[in-house]
Amino acid sequence: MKHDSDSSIQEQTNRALNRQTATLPTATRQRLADARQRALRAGRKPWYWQPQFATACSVLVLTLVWWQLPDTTHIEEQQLVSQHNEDAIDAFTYLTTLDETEQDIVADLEFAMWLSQQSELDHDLPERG
Amino acid sequence: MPDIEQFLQSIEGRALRMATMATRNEADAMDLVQDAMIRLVSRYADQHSDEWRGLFLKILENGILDWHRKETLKRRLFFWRQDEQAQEDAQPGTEQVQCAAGPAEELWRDQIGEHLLTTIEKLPVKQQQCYLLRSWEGLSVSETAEVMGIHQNSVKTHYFRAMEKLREHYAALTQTESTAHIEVNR
Repeated sequence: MKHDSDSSIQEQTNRALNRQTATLPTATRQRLADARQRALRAGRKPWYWQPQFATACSVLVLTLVWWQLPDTTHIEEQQLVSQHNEDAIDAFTYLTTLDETEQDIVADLEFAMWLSQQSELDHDLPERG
Repeated sequence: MPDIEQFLQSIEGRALRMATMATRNEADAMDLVQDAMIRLVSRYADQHSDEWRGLFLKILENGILDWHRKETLKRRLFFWRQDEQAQEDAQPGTEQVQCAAGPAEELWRDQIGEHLLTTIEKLPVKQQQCYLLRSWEGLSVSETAEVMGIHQNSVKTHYFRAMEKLREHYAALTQTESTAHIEVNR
């Protein structure tokens, strides 16, 4: 419900508020201007905070990371080689634990294998003359 | 399209007045206005200039209501200081009676406005800010609700209560004025 006095109240308060705002003391006006300048300085983003610069930086970092990533196929080959090396080291370690007799047996076995390979080679070669 | 600095310049005086009425302390009010300016420039400078006013008022109102919440908490923690504050608040009432006896008609009308402002200063902060936004800033109920972050019905209630107190005070002031005229005529 609107009373008769409402418009008069509003008018008089608005007039008083406008008058007070228009006649702010010079010192207060100066403080407001300083506050405005501080707000403008603090609020404006520096050049390195601009979206374009941030995007360029992100692209650069991603490119560098991608470039530094190792090739996956190369990794698989390396893994295979390292596995082979580990097997050879294990065999060599095992051989060092053998005593003299066992080493002779291994040498004999190697000689037998060599002989069989040689005979197979001879068999595969065409007979001369 | 106006520059954001021009916009701030156009609104800073009114903003300071609103904040001073809420805080009754110009230094705190100045801080609130500066914070609102910083937030507007840093977050919303890219927005269309038509939206700046609503955004600025919203930031300022948030600041005022936050400040008031903190002050309420402080008052509860340091309750023994309330008596001193109450004495300070009571002083403008005495001034009103003295001013009411002023002779000049035009001056007296201006003084009614000033006295009504003291009533607005004493209103609870939500009623006070509702009144200022609706009456002085000319915002609609929905705009005021948006700026203050409250429901439209709450805006209507706060505004109604503020108007009730202002009517009471206005009636008392005009009654004093009539009595003063009668006294002068005798």
